[in-house]
Amino acid sequence: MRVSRGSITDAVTRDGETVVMVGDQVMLLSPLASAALARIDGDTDVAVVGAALVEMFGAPPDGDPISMTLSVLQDLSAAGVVKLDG
Amino acid sequence: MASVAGPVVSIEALGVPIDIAITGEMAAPIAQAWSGALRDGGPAELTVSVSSDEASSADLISDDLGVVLHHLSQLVTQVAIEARAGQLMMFHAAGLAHPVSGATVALVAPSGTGKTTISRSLGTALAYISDETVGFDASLSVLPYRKPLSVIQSGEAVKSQHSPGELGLLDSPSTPTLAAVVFLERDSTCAGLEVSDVRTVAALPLLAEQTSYLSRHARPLGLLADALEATGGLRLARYREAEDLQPWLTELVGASCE
Repeated sequence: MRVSRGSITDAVTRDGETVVMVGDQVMLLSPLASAALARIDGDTDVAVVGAALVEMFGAPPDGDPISMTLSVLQDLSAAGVVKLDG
Repeated sequence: MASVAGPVVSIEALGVPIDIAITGEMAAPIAQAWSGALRDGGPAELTVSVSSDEASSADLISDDLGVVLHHLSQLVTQVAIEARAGQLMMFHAAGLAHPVSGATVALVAPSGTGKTTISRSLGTALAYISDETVGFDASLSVLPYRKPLSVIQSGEAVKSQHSPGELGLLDSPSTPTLAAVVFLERDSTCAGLEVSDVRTVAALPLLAEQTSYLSRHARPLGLLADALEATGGLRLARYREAEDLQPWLTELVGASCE
């Protein structure tokens, strides 16, 4: 599965937390979501994002980084911050 | 906006020249109410028209002065902020300034949460910039919007409008500059005044909801963050009564110009 950035008007990051503007909505992302967004460069494999999150935050309790990553990305996708494909 | 032949009251709102064109008998009281925002100079490109004649094509039609003044404020605000969209950062805020240095504090708050009360209460010690919208550019220069202030009179359905001078509020300093941004929360259970700092990333969503036409800027969040970080970051002030704020605000604008 691939992921890319949504139509983000602007973003500001401080101390690992990112605020994004999508349309007229301004949202503060969690540190996990902020890190996931930072790793998305063009059309990116979800597994690459997952590996980056594990490196930064450690493996999730259930040991399934892809499931954790998808959950984060699906939340971001619902808010229009990213686009999931495939 | 529709044009109406008659007396013209020339005002400036957020640095935007606007002519209020009036037919009927209301020119004098309208000029009085807007005396804090009067300007010199030629005709403005933007005009708001007022008439008491129901058959006219004026933007605002009523023969009730109280109704006209009430809606005129809203209309002028709308015209001014539309004209400044993408040029100024515009908070829903009261603005008070050090009368000499011009150091200005923007007191951001949703409608109906005490901006006018604070302006009336504190604007006799600090200069009145606005009770509605504080607009500033990238260099933090503040463009005043010294509109009339709404005052509730007992027994009246519509608030009456009073000029800042009529209420004894201080004139705007010559070069108001943004020095602090405060988010207000009125809380009747508060012991007095409680102030806390808000991280930039937490401040941006809070301020975005109270900023007009934010998305019209090229880098809206970056500009907001720059302004906040240049002025010491967002302060959250929980207060009970307007008077609770005065010593702290006076110190805030005083300290920022030293």
